[in-house]
Amino acid sequence: MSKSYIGEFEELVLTIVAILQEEAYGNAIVGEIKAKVGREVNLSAVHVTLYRLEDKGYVKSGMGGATNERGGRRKRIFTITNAGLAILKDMKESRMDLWKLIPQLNFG
Amino acid sequence: MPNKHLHKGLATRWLRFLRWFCPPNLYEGIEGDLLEQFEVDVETLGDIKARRRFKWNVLRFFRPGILMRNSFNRHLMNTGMFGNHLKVSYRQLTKNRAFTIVNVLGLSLGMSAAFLIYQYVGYEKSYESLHANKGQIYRVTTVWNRQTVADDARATTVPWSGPSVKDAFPEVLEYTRFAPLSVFTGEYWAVYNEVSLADLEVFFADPGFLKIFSFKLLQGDADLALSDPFSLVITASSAAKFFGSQNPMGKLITIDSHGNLGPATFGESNFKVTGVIQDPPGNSHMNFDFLISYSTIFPGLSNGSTYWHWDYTYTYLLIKEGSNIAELENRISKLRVAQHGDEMTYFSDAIDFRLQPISDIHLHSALKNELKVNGDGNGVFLLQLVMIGILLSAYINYINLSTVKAIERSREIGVRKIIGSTRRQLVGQLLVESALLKLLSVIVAFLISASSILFIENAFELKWPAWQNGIVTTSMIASAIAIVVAGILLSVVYPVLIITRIKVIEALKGGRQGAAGFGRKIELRKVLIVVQFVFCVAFTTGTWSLYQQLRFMKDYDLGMNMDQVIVVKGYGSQSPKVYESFKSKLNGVSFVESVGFSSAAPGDEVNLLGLKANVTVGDQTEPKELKIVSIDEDFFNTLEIALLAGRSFDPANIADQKSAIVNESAARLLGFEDPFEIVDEPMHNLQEVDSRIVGVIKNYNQLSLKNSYEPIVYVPYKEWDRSWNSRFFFVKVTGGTTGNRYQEALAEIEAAWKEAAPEQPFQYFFLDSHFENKYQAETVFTSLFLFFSLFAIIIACLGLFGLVAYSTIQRTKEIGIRKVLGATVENILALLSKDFFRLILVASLLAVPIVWLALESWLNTYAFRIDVDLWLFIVPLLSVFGLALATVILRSWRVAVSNPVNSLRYE
Repeated sequence: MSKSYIGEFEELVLTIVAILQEEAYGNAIVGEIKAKVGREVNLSAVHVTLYRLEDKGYVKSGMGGATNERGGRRKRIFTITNAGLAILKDMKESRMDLWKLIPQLNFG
Repeated sequence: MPNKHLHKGLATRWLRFLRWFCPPNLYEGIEGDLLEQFEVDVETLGDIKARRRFKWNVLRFFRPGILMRNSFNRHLMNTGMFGNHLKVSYRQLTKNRAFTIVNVLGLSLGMSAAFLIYQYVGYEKSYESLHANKGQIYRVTTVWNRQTVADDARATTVPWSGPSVKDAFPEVLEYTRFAPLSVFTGEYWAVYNEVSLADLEVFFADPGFLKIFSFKLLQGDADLALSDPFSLVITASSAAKFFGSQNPMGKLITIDSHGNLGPATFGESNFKVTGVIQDPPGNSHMNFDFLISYSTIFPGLSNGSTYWHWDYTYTYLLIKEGSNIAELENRISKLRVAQHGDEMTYFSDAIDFRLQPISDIHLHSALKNELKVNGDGNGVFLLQLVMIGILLSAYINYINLSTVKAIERSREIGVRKIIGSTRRQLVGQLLVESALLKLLSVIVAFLISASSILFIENAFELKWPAWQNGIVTTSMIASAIAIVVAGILLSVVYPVLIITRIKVIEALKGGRQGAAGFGRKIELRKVLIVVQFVFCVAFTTGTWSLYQQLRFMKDYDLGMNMDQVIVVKGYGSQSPKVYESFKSKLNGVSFVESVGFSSAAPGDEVNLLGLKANVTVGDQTEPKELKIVSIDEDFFNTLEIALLAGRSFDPANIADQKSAIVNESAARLLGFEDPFEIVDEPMHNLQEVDSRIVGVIKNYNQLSLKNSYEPIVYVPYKEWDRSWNSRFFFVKVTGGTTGNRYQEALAEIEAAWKEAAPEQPFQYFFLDSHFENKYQAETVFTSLFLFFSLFAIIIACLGLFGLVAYSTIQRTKEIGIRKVLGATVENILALLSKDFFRLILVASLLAVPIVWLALESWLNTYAFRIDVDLWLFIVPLLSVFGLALATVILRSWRVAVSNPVNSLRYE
């Protein structure tokens, strides 16, 4: 089976979903990306990416409980699936393998 | 507090927008995120910025990644039933073959008529669309001498009105004059090495010509090409004729007019090519082959004062946008008086300048001296009406027939509903069916249009403009398609409404009565039939009257006999010797009855010899303007024009060199009701010569019957010879009119011409066909109307046919019972046709007054016309009624003669 491929932004969002666990929803992901990576991303871009990841089976989503915040709207909480974890791990490893192949330069 | 900062209206408006495009299952999560983001933003960025960002964020969600998650494509088209719809439609269409044919034929006839007329009208309206600033280009026209002759409005103007107007008024950005060489020379031809061509359109033009108009200059410098005297700009096609593949720039072309070019250039006739310009397209009112720089013209004629009132040139101005045109017209007229008022010896204050938008020239200009035979704005407008009428009738037909069909199928619809068909599926079925029908009609329509164009082009000798290259634009095609599609949508709605309203139980129980409120619907259908026949009657009566007027004009006694008269064109500066020898040679030929000479051929505008005659007779003081025609002593008897009083010229009488003959109208204009009284009166001021009036002729139609008789004074040819005269020899041929005889006669005449004037081309025409050509526009329009009226009649009859079919089916049982009770076939036929007759009668009553009024106003443009009376309407009305009757009987005959047993035995 050929490996599925995910893009750089998809990988970033997927990683953040894994980090945030139960708290992974649109705004939180935008905030987390800004806090951890320092990158301003647009809410709609994150949403579209999340849906795409869901189509590919790397995340699943469900509606959280109603709160008093955000006008009483429920959050759509995303959680990473095993497949998602697997591909993250996969990508990390293949990158490490490639990294090792770079001649070790001496920055002295 | 939740989103307390968000303005209520704003929030709901933007969120409603979000909800509209966002898939419902994602909506809540997205909305929540947006609101949360907004709350954060309010804290950190402030209210205004946060709100702006909120809108922006909502807008950012409007992207394919979200939009495409909607599942709209699944429920919009029910693909499962589509195949079945197709199958059922096909069965329906083939089952009622007659019905389908009637429907398709009606629709496609309507569509092809619309296509054809659309193309024609589109072409007529596309005139001058070539010019980029056509909205700012105006032609200077003139109104002359309003005291004596009413409305002498001319397309030409004096050369003064170009340069002087531009100098005086800053809003006039550019000017160009555009003067035909022929006003100075008569016939001419152009020579380069071996190539010699006559029949060229040569004009003088100012440098502004290349700036005002958008004709593309292919070679040469637009600023300089028309500046120097004796510069020549030629069209691409004439460049190819003269120079082939050589570069034309700088070459010398000689323009010859047997000696010189008249007062235009006084002798010089070699022109240097300084530019090549694109050929003017067919949809321009200008047509030219050569443009000569205006500075070539002898300055006294160009802008000098001596001849300044000679209106030989056309003039175009480029005027700054937003200028007050009416006011500018007044200022130009006043400027003329201020600058040249005292030089108008004959015309005190009698010339008004007008500015005519260039886009009005082709369709809305009826001035004297137009460059081309213009189109007919009224005709184009009428054709558009015809188009709308035919299209409307065709769609009405379709609506009527489909409704009838739908009601017949109410049982099927009922069963479908019971099985569980949704409203949408029912409509889908009907849409598929009508789409199939329309597709078929469009194909047939294209076939009909294509063959119609071939037919029209052959039968009426008319070039269908849309077939010329580059004229059919994409926008024309797009709007044609739009018309068809709009019609389809409109005509589908009504039957669909009826069908889906059918109540199930009633449909199954009561059969045809199932259609709710059908009683009222039939009223609507009657109205539609009436509308159709209003158009039908209007077209037929209109066409018939057009035809009657045309026949009236062709049969009218013109006061002269043009039969068997061959006209030979003479040339400028022809010596009297040519005249003498040509005439004497012809007089020796056995079948030549007589030869006359005139400076104006009947049918043509009278060339004023470049001069004005403002004459007084006897001791009158008030001058009257007459037109001048120079003739020889044989002109009147050659054309059999009758003398009322006095005599014709006598060449043997020396005193006759200073004599004149007037026509009836001239005599009347000069105040002499009795023609005998004016004979022997002296006429003053006829070109500063005093002449004696020797005769009065009966009025004949110098111009076509659109124009009334003009007051004309005839003068002896020899004393009035001017090099720029037109010259026509009228040769009356005796004997039969068979082809061979004419060929023989022509050969003899040509031989005589070659002997008398060996260097000059022999050009001739037949006077009667020359005159009838003036009615070409009418002939073409009559033919077109006739053609399209046929369409309208066929469509209306098809509609009638369908409706009769329906009503006979409905009344089969009634007819059976009536027959059993003793009704005859005639009774039944009368019963069936009575209703429809009433409708057609109503339609006629509505149509006739409208046509009557329209005809009156159209006929008023003719000086000689038929009277509109009821008799004019009888023939077309009878034929419409006859056709309708035939249609009704054709369809109901079978029912009327059928054995009642067949229709009643199942009861």
